[in-house]
Amino acid sequence: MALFNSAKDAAFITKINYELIGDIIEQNVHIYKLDVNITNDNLYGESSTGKTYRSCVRVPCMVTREDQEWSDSEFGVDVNQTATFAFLKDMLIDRANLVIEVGDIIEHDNAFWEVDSAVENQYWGGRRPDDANLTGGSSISILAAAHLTRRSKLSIENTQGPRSNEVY
Amino acid sequence: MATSSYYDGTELFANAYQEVPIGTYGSEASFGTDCNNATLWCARRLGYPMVDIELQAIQFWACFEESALEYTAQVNRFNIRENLLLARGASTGSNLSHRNLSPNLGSQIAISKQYGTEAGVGGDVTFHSASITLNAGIQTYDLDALIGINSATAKDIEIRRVFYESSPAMTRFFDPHIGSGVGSQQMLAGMGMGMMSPAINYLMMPLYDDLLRIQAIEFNDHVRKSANSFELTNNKLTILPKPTGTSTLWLHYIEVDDRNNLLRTPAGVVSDYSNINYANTLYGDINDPGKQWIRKYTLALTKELLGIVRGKYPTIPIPGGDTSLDGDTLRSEGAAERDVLVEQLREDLEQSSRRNMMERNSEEAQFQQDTINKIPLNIYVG
Repeated sequence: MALFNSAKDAAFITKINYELIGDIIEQNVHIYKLDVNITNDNLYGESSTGKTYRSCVRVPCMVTREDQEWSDSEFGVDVNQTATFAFLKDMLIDRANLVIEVGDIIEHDNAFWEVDSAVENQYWGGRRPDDANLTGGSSISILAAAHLTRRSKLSIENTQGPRSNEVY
Repeated sequence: MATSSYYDGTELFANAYQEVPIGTYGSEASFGTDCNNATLWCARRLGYPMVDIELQAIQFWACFEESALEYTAQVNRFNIRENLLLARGASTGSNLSHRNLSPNLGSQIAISKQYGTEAGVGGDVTFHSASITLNAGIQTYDLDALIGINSATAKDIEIRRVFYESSPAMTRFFDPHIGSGVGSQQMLAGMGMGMMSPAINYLMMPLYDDLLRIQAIEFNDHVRKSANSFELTNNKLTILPKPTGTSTLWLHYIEVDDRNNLLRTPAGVVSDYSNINYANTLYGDINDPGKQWIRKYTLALTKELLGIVRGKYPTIPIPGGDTSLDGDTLRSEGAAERDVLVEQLREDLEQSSRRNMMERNSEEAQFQQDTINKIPLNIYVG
C-alpha cells in the first residue's frame, strides 16, 4: 500500500473539501436533471415539444463565471455567458446521487445554465479509488462547463405570468 | 465519507488506562473531568465548531496526558536538582514527590569521615591490629613482608599507629598526691607499693607543677637518654634504640583497598540523578496554577499536532484547483507556545529554589530592619 495518497488520506482531503465547499464557501446551485424517458421526441430524436426535467437538487460547488458577451443582430440584443461549475464528486454522490451530463440545467445566480460538457479528470495521487489495479487516490471533481440559456426554452418556470416567488 | 471519527464534541474520556497512551492518570476521576474540559476548551480555541478539527478525541486526551506528565517531570527535575545532595545515600524505596524533605548533614558527614580516617578519629575504614616480634640486635623490619602485600595476607597496607613508646612519664612521676618530688615513688615501688599513694603528704600542688615535672621527665628521656622511637618509611620500620631482647610490637594499619573502596555504601540507595525516587504526582494533588499550565500546554501540543496532520499535504486539491492548509503555521505556533510555557515554568521553579528563597528572606529581613530603623526613637525622660 502506498504510504501517501492512502484511503485514509483521501478521506482527509475529502473532509477538507466538504468543509471548504459545503460550509465555508457555500455556493449552492440547483441542478435540473434532464429526464430522457419522459421527454417526447420526434422521428429525428428531437424534443420538439420541449425537454422535461426532474425536480431540482441543491448542491454546493465552486462557480467560475466568464464575463457576459453582448451581441446585437437583426433579432435584437442578446447576451451570452459561460461558466464552469466545479463539483466535489463525493458530494454529488453523497447529497444528490446524480451524474452530471450534457444537457442538464444548473440554476445559479438567478439564471439557468445548460451543461455543455462534464469532465472528470482531477485524480488526487494520480489514481481513482475504484481502480482495481491501484489503491488509494481520489477522484476529486466533476467540472461542468455550461452556457447561459433562455428561461422560456426550459419550461422549468412560468415565464408568461408572474413567478410565484417574486413580488410584483 | 470515512471521517466520522473526527472530534465532534460528543466522545468523553471514560477514565480508562487504555484510552491514553501512557496510562499514568487513567483512573483518577479528576483527571478524567479535566481531560474532557480541556479537550472542549482546546477544540474551541482551535475554531470548533465553526471549523472542523482534523483530530480525534483520543488525540486531545493524549496531549492532555503528555501535558500533565511534562508538568510533573519539570517539577520533579527541579526537585531532584534541589534535593539530590540531601537525598544521596537515602533509600530509593521512598517516593519523594510532594514530600517536604528534612535537611540533614549526611553528605557532609560522609565527606568528613574521610578526614576522620586520616586523622585517626573515627571514619569508616577499619583499623586492623597486628604484631611483629622484635629481636635483639635487629632494628629494621619490612612490614610489607611481615603483614603487608608480600605476606600471606597479600594486602597493601598503610601503617596508622606503632605502639612503640617509652613508658608514659606519668607512670614514672612521683605520685602527685605525694607531691614531694623526691625518689619516694621508686622507693615505694621497690616495696611492692608502686603507683599507689601512701597518703603521706596532703599538700595541694597546682596542676602546672605536675605538667612541668612530666615535661622534665620526657625531656630527660630525649636529651640524656636514647628514648624509644622509630622511623617508618615505605613500610620499613626502624626501631630506635636497637632492641636488646625479644619483644612484641603492636601496630595498627588499614588496608589501602579498604580506604579506596568506592562501594562502601550499601546498594539500593540514592546515588545520582537517575535513581532518586521522584515518581509522577497524582493529578489531583496538582494545584490550580499547575492545572492551568497543563491546559495551556495541551493547547500548544494540540495545535502542533493539528499542524502535523494538516502539514502532511500542505496543498490539497479542491474541485478545479487546489488550496493550501495552515499546517506549518500551526506547527510553529504550537512549538513556540510550548517553549514559552516550559521556559516560564522553569523560571518560576528557579525563583522558588532554596537559595533564592533564602536570599529573598534575607532581603525581606533587611528591608524590615531598615523600616524599623526609621521609626523615631522616644526620648527617655526619667
